[in-house]
Amino acid sequence: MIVQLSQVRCCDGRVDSTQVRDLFLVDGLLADTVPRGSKVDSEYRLPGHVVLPGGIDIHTHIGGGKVNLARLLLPSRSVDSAIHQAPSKPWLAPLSCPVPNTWETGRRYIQMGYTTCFEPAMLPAGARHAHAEMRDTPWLDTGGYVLLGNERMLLQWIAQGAPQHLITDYVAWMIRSHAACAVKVVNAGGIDAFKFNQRHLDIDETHPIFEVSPRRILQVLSTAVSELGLAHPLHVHCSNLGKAGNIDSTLATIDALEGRRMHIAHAQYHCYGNDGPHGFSSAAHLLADRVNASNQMTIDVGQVLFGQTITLSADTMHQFENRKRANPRKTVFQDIECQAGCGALPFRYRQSQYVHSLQWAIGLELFLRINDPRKVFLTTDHPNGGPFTGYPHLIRLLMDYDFRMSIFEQLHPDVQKTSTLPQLKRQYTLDEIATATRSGPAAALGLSNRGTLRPGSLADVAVYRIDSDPESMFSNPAMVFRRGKLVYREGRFLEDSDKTTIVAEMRDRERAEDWSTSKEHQQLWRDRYGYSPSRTAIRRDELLSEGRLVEENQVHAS
Amino acid sequence: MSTELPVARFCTCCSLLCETGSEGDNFGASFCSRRNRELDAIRMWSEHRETLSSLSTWESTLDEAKARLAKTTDFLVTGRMRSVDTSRGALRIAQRHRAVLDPWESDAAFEGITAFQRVGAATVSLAEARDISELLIVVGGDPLMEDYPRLPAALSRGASIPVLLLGSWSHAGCKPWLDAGFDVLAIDTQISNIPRSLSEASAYASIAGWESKASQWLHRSGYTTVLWSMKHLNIEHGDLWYESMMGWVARENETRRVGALVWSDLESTFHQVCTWWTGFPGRIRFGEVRFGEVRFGEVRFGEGSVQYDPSRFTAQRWLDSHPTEQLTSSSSLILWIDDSFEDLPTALLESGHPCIAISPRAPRSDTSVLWLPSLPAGLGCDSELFRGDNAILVQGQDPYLIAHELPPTAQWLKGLIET
Repeated sequence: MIVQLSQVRCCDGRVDSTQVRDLFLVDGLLADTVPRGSKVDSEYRLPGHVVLPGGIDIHTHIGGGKVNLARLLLPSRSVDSAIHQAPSKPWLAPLSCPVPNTWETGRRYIQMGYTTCFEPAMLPAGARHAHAEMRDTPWLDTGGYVLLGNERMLLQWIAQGAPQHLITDYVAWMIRSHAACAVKVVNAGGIDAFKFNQRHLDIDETHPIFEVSPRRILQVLSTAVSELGLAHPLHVHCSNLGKAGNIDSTLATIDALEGRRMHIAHAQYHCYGNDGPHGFSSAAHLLADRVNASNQMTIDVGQVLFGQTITLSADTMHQFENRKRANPRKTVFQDIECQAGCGALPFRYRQSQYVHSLQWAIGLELFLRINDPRKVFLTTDHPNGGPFTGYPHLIRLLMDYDFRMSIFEQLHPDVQKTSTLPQLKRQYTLDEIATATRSGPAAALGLSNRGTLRPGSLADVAVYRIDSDPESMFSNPAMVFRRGKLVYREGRFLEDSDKTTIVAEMRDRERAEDWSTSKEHQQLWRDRYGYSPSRTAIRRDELLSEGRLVEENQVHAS
Repeated sequence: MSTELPVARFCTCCSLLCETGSEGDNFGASFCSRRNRELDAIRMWSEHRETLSSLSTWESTLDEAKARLAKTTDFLVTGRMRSVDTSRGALRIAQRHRAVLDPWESDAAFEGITAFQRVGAATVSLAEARDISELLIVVGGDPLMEDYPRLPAALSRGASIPVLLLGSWSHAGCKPWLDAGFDVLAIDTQISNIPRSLSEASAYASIAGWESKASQWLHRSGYTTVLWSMKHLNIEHGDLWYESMMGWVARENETRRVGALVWSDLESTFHQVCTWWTGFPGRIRFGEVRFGEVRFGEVRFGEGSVQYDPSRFTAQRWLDSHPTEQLTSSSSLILWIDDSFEDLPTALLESGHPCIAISPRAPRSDTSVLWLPSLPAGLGCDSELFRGDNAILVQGQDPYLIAHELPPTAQWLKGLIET
C-alpha cells in the first residue's frame, strides 16, 4: 500500500519545514520516493497543508486503577453546550468527563493528531489493569512507566545496605514482568512514609521505619536505570509537589542524581518559591537555568489550564494535604499493596485565584525560558493540569504572544503585578512545536522510529491545514495516518490499525530472570504480599493477544 | 520478554483469588470447603458432557441465537459477568443492540458505588492491610465467612493482631480468625449503629461497653483497617451507612491512619471494565446519538450514546416493566451471561421471558430459554479477574482443565457479535 502526500510542507523539527515536497507512505513506513517498480495507490494533493509525525504524549494518565477511580468518582457528564453551539464541529466539544472513557480518549487524541501515549504511573500490582485499559483505547500505541521507589521491600533492602546489583536485578524484573518501558519514582519514600502517618518527607529526611532518605532512593534507582541502559532516564516526580518553596527540594533532587540523566515530570508543580504577596511565587527561572545548563535533563511541563478537572497522583501524601481544596468536595485515597498509593481530587482551576493564575504563568515561563525545545515537552499531566484536549489551546499560547497576553490580563491582579511572563516575548515556531510534541519526546524515550519524518520511520503522520490560528489548526487535522492507513479524515473516523505496546529494551536482560528465579526472592515477595511474584507478572502472550504488537525501545548508548 | 515467566494458578471460586500452589502440588489439599463443593459439582457436570455434546452443533445453536437477537428490539443484558473478556463481550453486544445492561442482583454493589460517587473513599488493598495493619475491624457476620472462608488467612501475616468483629458472629464465624492467629473480640451489635459507635470510640466519648476496648485498640494502632462487604451488611440504606463509615475513616485520617477494605464479589470485574469502556459502572442503556439532543447523564459512545441511571436501568426494573402477559406481542429478550457455576436464578426463569442463556449450567426446565453451554471463568480457560479489593487484576487459570470442547462465555459473545 503506497500513499503519496503531494505538495505538502514537512515539519518534524529536523528538516526545513518551509519547503514543499512529496512524502510517501509505503507499507506502513515513510519514504522519500516510490520503490522502483511500484505504483502509488492513493494520492492526496495537499498544498496549504503541513504534515507532522504523529504526536507523542510522554506523560498522560490514561490507564490503570487511579484513572478508573476518577471516572467512577466523576461519572461522565453532558457534552451539551458546545454541541448545541457548534453542531457541525462536535470535535470541539468539551470532554464528557475530565477523565473520559477509553474510547473517547483514543478518539480525542487522534483528533489532535496524536498517535502514541504513555501512562506514567503504572503500579506494579496494577500493571495488568493499566495495559487492559490501554488495549481498549483505540487508535493509540501505548506504554507505561512502572512506579518504583515506595515498595516496602525495596526500602528495606536499601536501608539494609543491599548491594546495587541486587537492586538493579530487581528493577530489571519489575520492568520486564510488568511490561514497562521506563521507571518512574513518585515522592521517593514519601508515599510509604504517609502510611506510617508521616505527613512530610524532604529529600534528606528519613523514612519513619526504614533508615532511608529520598536522596538515597533516587540514587539507587537512577543507578539501576543507568546500568540497565534504559532509553528513558529515571522519570522523577519530586518531593513536595505543589508546595510553596519547593524549588529547594527540586534543585536538591537534581543534585542528588549527581549528573546522571533524569526527566522531571510535570515540572511546573515543582518550581515554586515562597516570596511575593501571598508567600507563593515563581521559581521557574531557577529550574530553567538548570535545564539550559545540562545535557542530561529533560522535563515535561504539566501546564495548568483553567476549568474543571480532577487531579490524580500516586503521591497520597500531598494529595491528602490538598483534600480540602477538592471541588466538588469528594476525594479518594488508597494505600496499595505495599507499593504506593493513589489520591484523586476533583479540582477547578480559576483565573481569579492567585495560586492557580500563577501556576498557569509558571508553566508558560518554563516553556519560554528553556531554550532548547528538545528538553521541554508539552503536557498538562492529563488530567492534573487540565485535560489533554487543551493542547491546541496551549500551542496557541506558546505561538502567539498577543493571545498569551490577552489571557494574562485576565489573571489575578497580583500575578499581573509580579509575573515576568510579559517580558518573555518568545513565540514558538511550528518546528519548535513539532519538537516539543514529537521528536523531543521520541528522543527522550528512545523511540527511533517515531516522532520524525525520516525515511524508514513509522508512517504515523498528521496532516494539518495551515492556519493563522494554531488552536484551530491543531484541533482538527485534515487527515491522520497510522502505519500508512488513513484513520481519520475531516471529523470522520476510519479503519483502525494494529495497536502496539511499547516496552523497554535492556542490557543484560537475563538479570530480570535471575531475580525472579531465586527462591529467596520468591519467599521475600510472598512474605510481603502474601502471594507469589508471578501473580502480577504479565506474559508476552497476554500483550500479543488480539492483534497487539510489542515494540522494544532502544537501549541508551551511554 | 523472550522467556516465559512462571504462571501462578489461582482458585477463582471467590474474589479472594487464592493461590492453589504450583503444578505437582496436591491442589485439592489447599482448597477451602466452598471450592471443594464447587469442584464436586463440576466433576458431576463433566460427567454429563455426553449430554452436552448431543446438543445440536454449536454453529446451529449460534445461528439460532443470532436469529432471535435479530428479531429483538427491546433487550436486557444481565447475568454474572466476572471476567474482563466476558465484560467486554457483554458491552459490545449491549451496544450493538441498544440494550439495557445491568449485572444480576447488583443492588448491594450499587449502594456502594453511588455512595462512593457522592463522597469518595479512603481505602486500603488486601496486601497492604495484611502488611501494615495493627488493628482490624471487621463488620458483618457469619455469611461473610461462608462466602470468603480464607479471608482471615489472607489477612494474616503471622503476628497476633487484634481483630474486632462487629455485627453478628457465632463461634463458627469467629473460628477462622482465631485459627489465623488473630486476637479476637467479637461484639454482637447493630450494624447500623457502628459508625456512631466508632466515632465515640475515636473520641474517647464512651465510658463503657465494647467501645471502650475499641477505643484503646484504636489509639494504640498505627494503622487500622476496617473491612466490610456491601453484600453482607444486610441493612437498609446501605449507601448512607457507607457514607457514614467513610466519614469516620476520613476524620480518623486527620490524625492517624485508617483505611477501608470494602470487599466486592467477582462481579466487580464487570463494574471496572464497564467504567473504563463507558465512564459508568453499569446500569446503563445504549442508544443512538443525535447531535443537539444530548441530555444530562448521557455521553456519546462509539457510534451511539450511553445513558447511566442507577435507579432506572436495573434488571429488576426492566423485568417489572415487561409484564408476562404482554410477552406474546412484544419482541423483548433477555441475554443471560454467566461466568459462574451457579444455577440460573429462579426469578429469571419464572418470569417467562424469552431468554438466551450463555451459562455452564443448564436451565432446569424451560422451553423459552435457548441455552449456550459455556465454560465458567477460570475453569478450562484463562480469564482475567479482579480481586475483591479491585487492586489487582490476575489471570485465573485452574489446574483442572475440564471440558475443553466447550467455548468460554466470551467466545460465545464474540460469535454473537460477528456477522
